Amino acid sequence: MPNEILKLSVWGILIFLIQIAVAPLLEIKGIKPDLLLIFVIAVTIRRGSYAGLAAGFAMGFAQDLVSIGFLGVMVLAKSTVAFWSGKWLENRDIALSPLGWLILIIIAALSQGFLVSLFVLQGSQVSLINNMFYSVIPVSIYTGIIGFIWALAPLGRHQAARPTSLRIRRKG
Amino acid sequence: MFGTLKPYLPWLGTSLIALLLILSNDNQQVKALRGNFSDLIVVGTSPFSSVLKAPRLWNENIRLHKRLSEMSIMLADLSSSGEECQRLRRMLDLREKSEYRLIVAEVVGINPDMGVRGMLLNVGRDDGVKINHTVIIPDGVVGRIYRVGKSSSAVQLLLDPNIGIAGRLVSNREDGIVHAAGGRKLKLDGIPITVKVSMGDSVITSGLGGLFPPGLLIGYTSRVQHSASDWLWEVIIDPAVNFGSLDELFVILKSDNAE
Repeated sequence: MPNEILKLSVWGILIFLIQIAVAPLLEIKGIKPDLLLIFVIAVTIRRGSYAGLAAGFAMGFAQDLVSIGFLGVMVLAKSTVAFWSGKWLENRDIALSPLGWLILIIIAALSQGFLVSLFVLQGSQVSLINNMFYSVIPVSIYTGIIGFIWALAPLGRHQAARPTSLRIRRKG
Repeated sequence: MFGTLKPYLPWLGTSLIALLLILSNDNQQVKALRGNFSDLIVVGTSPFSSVLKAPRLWNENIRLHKRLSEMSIMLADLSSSGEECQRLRRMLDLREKSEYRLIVAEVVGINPDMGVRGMLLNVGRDDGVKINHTVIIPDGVVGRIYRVGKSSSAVQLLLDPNIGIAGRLVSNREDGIVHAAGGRKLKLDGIPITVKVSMGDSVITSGLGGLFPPGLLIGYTSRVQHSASDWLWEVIIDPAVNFGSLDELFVILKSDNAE
């Protein structure tokens, strides 16, 4: 278990640095994928809702520290999205196909974007609908596509192969 | 009751901590922590970004050389315009008074947040950067320094929904406030409908409010629509800066007597 935590922490730090330094190179028309969310959802799928919650908290906190937004907003958004995605998966006990990853990540990204927008747009001139349309929806779709590609890769395929509860029982 | 809630307690606890963090945003220690963390990230990502940016910088260099030649010709044309002469004279005055100094900054990272638009730079307090200093490129205004660490700083881009700067239409000297309009557009508010707004007109910083120096290009008018109040225009602006391809920026350092 400590080994698993250490491994996930190293992956988390690496993906965080990639998100900061490399993800801008993947930018299309100002839209960048949220690799941290893919990581958080991957942890949720692999280890369940509580591990996802912890990963969401850690990634959200790191993201908040370098962001110019409110500290705590990404913590709230990422941990909430990870926890409820995990609960949803555990209740259904399903194995996610790559298409399932795509849909789950898009829904998670949309929910995260909606939560963040509620805080960020307070008192601003940009409306929630405008921000959803121009920023959140494109980022969510792009993130979902990257998540889909990740799920097709050998490591992602391995994670997605078995139902969540089975993975938690065996790993835990 | 407690049994039903038990599986959700970790999430409730996390959410409570997040809300406490949101409430602690104005705390000086929190600000210092964020600055220090940014310094750490700059150190961690610098090798990555330098290597990855090399091919892009090569192309950018060629493009800028070409652009520089074009700009030299354009500058010669512009010098005949009275309006531009005034601006240039003001800029010249600024240089003579030495109130402003430019330093080069490299973009180390871009915030992935949905809605918040910011960037991380590799210059900080040690380089003389302070909060609210203006960030520009030769094309125009990029944003303002939002947070400063020892060797890093965060820029709030003009596209961020929570920034507003005093802008001016060049053709008729009408002043208004420039905000983000969603996506990659900006909008100029506060222009009376009695004013004729022509498309493609330059919008510059007016200097009102003291945050941004006057005469810096913000963008070009692309569309005009009625604002919520019927007696004002809402002028949609195409930013002069391509926010998607920013590698090196300039921070305008103000001397203390200029601030």
